[in-house]
Amino acid sequence: MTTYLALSKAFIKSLQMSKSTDRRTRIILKFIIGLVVLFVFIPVAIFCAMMTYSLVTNLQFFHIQDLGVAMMLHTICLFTLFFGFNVIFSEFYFSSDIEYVRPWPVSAWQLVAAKFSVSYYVDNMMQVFMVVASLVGFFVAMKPGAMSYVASAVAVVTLPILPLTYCGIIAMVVMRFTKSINNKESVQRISALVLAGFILMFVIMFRVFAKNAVDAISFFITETSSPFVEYMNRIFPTIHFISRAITYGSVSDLLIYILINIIAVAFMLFLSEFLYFRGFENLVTNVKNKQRSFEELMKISVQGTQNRAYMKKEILILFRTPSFFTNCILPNFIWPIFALIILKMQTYDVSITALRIYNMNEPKIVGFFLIMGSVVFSLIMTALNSLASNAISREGKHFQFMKYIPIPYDTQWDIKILISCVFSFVGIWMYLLPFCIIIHTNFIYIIVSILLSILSITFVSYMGIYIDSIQPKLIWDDELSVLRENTNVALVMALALGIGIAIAFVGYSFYAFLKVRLLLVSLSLFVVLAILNLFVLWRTSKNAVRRIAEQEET
Amino acid sequence: MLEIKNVTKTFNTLKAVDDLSFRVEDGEIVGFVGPNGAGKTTTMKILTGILKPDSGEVNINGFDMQKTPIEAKEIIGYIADSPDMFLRLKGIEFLNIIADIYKVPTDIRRERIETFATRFGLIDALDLPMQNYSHGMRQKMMVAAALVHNPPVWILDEPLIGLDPKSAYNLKGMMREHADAGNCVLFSTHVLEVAEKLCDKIIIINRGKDIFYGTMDELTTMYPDKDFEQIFLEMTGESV
Repeated sequence: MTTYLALSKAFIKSLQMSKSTDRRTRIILKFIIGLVVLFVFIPVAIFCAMMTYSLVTNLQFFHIQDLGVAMMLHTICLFTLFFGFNVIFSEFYFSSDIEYVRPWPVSAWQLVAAKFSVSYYVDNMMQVFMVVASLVGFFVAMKPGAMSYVASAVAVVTLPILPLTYCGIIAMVVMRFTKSINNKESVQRISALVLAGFILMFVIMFRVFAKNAVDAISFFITETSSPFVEYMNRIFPTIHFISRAITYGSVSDLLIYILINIIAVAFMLFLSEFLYFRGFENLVTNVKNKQRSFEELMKISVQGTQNRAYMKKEILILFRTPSFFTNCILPNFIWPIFALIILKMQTYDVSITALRIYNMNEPKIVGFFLIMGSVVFSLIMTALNSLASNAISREGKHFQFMKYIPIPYDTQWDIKILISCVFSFVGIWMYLLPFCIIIHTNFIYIIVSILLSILSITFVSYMGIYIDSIQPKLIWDDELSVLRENTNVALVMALALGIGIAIAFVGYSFYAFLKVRLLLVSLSLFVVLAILNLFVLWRTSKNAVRRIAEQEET
Repeated sequence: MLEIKNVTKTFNTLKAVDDLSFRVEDGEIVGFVGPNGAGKTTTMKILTGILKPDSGEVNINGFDMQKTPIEAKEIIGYIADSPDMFLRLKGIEFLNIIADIYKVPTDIRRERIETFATRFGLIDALDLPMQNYSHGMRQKMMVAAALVHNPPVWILDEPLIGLDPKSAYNLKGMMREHADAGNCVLFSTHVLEVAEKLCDKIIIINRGKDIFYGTMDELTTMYPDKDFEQIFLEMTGESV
């Protein structure tokens, strides 16, 4: 037990970000975390609370309100299960400390238990918010007794245990008996596929429940002999007991819940003795590929410019690192698939011909939506791909390279911004431009949209890198954590989303209600975006280079 | 020539480098030795511009690191303390990127890449991603990359770690050749025998302060009956 505690403590400690010594930076960091909580965590929490409240209130009539709680908890468990795979695989088999720890005289179960604790720690933050919010929704709807509060507190802490245990068992079985996953990249590729599946499932569910989500889900639970909850209860048997313990304050259900969790973890630790260490045998890191001859390599070794070399380094790393590729590059080029899915979610069909006819009849309205849409979409897409908002953090332990090479910091900075701008712009307009041409949009509207889109992209790129320079996350173990655990990325997304929504709202109000002409709306947008650009440029030139110079990775 | 004058660097409350001054003249190899945490890597990072000193000056061949950093960095060849750098890149890509950054012309880079690849046995590995390399091969690649632009000032942070005997021998030979050609080399090491045999001068640093700077002869004159290992342990207060 002491070994397990010591290992867990060491692993968790190594995960934590280095604490800033600068008071001003600490204040900024707190501000950033506050914004992330405000714009990301709180909206999700409110959604969970309202959903649980509505479900429980609806199902109270049938005296099966526990199923409402169960439904929410099952969803959160599914969320943990899908996102847990990557964390568990990475922690169990591919963390950088594993090769040092394996030769230590520790049992497989002790190591797995410690790694499991780290995974729980990494995966838990967002989920705690969701569980707490759901339970708050339940308390508001039900006003239950004291025992329910005890059960809820237990649920908040222990809910991820079962789904993560499943991830742990599956990871050990896969690693022991197959050779399908032999490096971190394979895990990340599979995680990306699982995530895509999860999003697709979410979209389909959303379409099914589009008209009236709560009524539809209530109907789904009550009128179909509860097959969904029953089926889910088989996957997560703990939920049946904890939802009853929360709803009715049942002590016996709470004890059974705790017992099942203990049994599940004990079973995983028992299996680890047979599976864990042998799972490493299948790990192969050396992949042979076709190599060019030395003469061929010399032929391609020709002098290029400094800037081109730095850009090449950036792009190669972005394309060759699976996490960066799937999170920063791919979204720029696959968004039309998601747009199509969302379009298909509508209850009415939209065809190209219909759009073309509509454009012929109402060219100004189409022009307005194109202009506003391109601005809002450019703001959001540039933030979403996070090419700028993790540009410094991405360097990680290579950060010192930025500092000892003879390329001025502002040039390195500009190259990173250029990459963000180019990928964002190409990704957006390689689809949007043909679409505009196909539906015969007025040429002037296209030009105006492109200009405003460029201003939006440069603004978010500069803002992103500026925010990332304040407190870059330079200490990370795997590349995914620089994206998932980086508050800078979340902050830039939240800001871009907020600014995008504000622009859309004001623009629409001016155009639709105040009947301001499209030309004037476009000019106003141009002025606003130009001011925003000038502001970030001013801030950047004033502080950014100094920050890189003073930033230390220690 | 490289020179560091009254440099101090503090992390939180820890003085990693404390009013340190020394000068490495052209034609010299200077060994930088000291116990773990003595401030060797911090000093080297200050010399290369990675860390900004709290006070003091760094001068590389007449270029002040604070005032003319680009000019100063152009003439430094630096090997960092860890060879795990840009492992997703292939060896040849990494070398060419570094050669471009340091503006090495095509014909010269080809010649140098061939020289390093042959000396260090890297020819078959050049077209492979560096994440497939062993620790020693990565270290060799870092050496090749640091020296591909033939910089007059070499700052090498424990360059011999992980190298096989042949590569270590070759690198030591290269250091000597480089110094003899009128350039300077500063390298840190924990292997006292290497410092003793290879270096023209030794800097012993402890808790951020230089406790000795001079030739081996000067050192042995101060402690006539002791070998370098005993002297080092006594000077750094680590006697067993």
